[in-house]
Amino acid sequence: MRFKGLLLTITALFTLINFNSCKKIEGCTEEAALNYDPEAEVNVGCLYNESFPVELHMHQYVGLEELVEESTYNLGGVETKLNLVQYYISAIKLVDADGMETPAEGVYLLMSPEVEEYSLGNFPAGDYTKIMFDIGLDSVTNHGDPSLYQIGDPLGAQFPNMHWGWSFGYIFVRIDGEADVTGDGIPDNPDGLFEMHLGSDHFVATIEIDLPVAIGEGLENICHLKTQWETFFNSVDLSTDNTTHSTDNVDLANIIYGNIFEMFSPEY
Amino acid sequence: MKKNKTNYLCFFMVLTLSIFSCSVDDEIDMQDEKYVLIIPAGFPYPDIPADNPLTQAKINLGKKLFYDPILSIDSTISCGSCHKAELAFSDDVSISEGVFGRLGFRNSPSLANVVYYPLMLKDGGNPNLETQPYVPIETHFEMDFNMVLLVNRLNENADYVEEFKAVFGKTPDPFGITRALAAFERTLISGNSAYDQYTYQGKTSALTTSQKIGMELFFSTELNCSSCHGGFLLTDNTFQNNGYFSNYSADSGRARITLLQEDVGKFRVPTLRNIGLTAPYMHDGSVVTLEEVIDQYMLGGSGHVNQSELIKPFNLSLVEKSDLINFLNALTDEEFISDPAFK
Repeated sequence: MRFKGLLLTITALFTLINFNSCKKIEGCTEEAALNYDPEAEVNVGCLYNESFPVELHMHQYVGLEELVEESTYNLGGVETKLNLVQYYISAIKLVDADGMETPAEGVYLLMSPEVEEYSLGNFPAGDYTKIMFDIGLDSVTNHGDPSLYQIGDPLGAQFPNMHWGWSFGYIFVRIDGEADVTGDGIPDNPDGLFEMHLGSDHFVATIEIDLPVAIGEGLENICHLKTQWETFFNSVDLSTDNTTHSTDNVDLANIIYGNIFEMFSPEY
Repeated sequence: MKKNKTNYLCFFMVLTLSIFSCSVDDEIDMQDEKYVLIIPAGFPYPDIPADNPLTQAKINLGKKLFYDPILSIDSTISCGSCHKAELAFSDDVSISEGVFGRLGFRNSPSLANVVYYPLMLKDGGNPNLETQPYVPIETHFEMDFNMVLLVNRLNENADYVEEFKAVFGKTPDPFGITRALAAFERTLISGNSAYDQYTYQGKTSALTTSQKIGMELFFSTELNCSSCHGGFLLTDNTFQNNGYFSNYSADSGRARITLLQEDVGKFRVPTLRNIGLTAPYMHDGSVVTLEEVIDQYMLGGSGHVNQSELIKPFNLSLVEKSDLINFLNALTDEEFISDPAFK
């Protein structure tokens, strides 16, 4: 009898194993879906939050004034004309209260004060609490070949130039201007011409900002941020030390790099 | 043309490869018959990037661009202005003038055999021939132009529009400009000097007795020249501080790219091929003659903290020095500098 019982148990076990190996677990296999089942082997359908196009609106300020290129501002006591202000934003993510990050895939933005609205692509409906992004580009993208992109693509060849051939990579932040170096209250050209060109993998700045954004039907679906350029020039004396191409004046590059972390904030 | 003679071995190798990869490179194969480089004895066949196969039409277009000042902001300076064929594609001044007479800070290097270089520029700051054209085109003291503006300018030129369409199937764009220039530069192969004829082609009479003695000195462990200037390129393509100067504040060399103190004063070891044609010497072109270079090396370097350990004092008699210089002059490839395919 004991032998018979054992045989029965073994048979039952084999049947179970056999059964399991034939029938694959059905469910949703897509990680991003609402009904994602990590055990599922056969995808029988997934449910998603509906996605909506989201925009980034970036207002750029110098103090209380909106930044307008070719205008003159008092920066740290030095009258300074800002002729060109451009920078790259990449690796954009919206983060929800649980810390779940949703990336804006393949979005690289070349930011200019002339343009306020930028598309971030589609994001699933939901309540997000935070936005993260890099000023600069990841190492692989940074050292890619701009000729592989069409002119007009943010990563393609630009005029004015946003790429270095000599130290191969993109210029993450480019500021060109004229500073008052003679003390007469007027920006000087050519003596006061300056260039602050920040680039190289070392100077990628990851920014994290608390920004409640609800994405969904009938909602605005816009991330409102602002840039304060006064902060960018903190601890910089534009009348004496105003030019860096990153590796040729690392000290100044480090100062403006540190300031970048402080210059973005939500705009309500 | 001489450079277009078929090297049968290479041709069959390429043919074999293309049979195996026919489904991958269909688009490329359609463009034009593949161009096979003539490779000197002792040289390997170089790697050619998959996105830039060589064709005669592309090389021709690259050559036209290379010699056309249309690449510079005021249409005065071409690549060939500072890389002269008769000087093995180098220049005979310390610092070549860019647009508006502007001067940079480095001596124009020879482009001979750039197809074999793992990195571009004296500090290795640029990765390959396809991206290098951005450097002269956009540098303030070279051509001071811009790729977008150049594309616009070439698109206003009916001849270029036609030629780009024939080669790339589209109007001038950054891809075509950079690929065509790189294709032409890949053909600039120099390997038929008296030294090559003696070493790789079995012509025992190609070198004089003095040059043979100079060659022995060159390859001796006492002088250590060939420790860096060795191999078929006569450079190992490493970055070294040769102790020629004690102060590198005007140009930190490789450190300009890496920001590392240990790279201060390090520059790519230059090829010594055609060295008799590429004066003046050193990264800044501050040394006029080979004799001065050897005299300085005999002293064993400045003792800069990053100086290569291989740089040590040595003695040469006047006759030996002359033998060594005679050998260096045997590295000149007359065929290369007079090749009509490059002019």
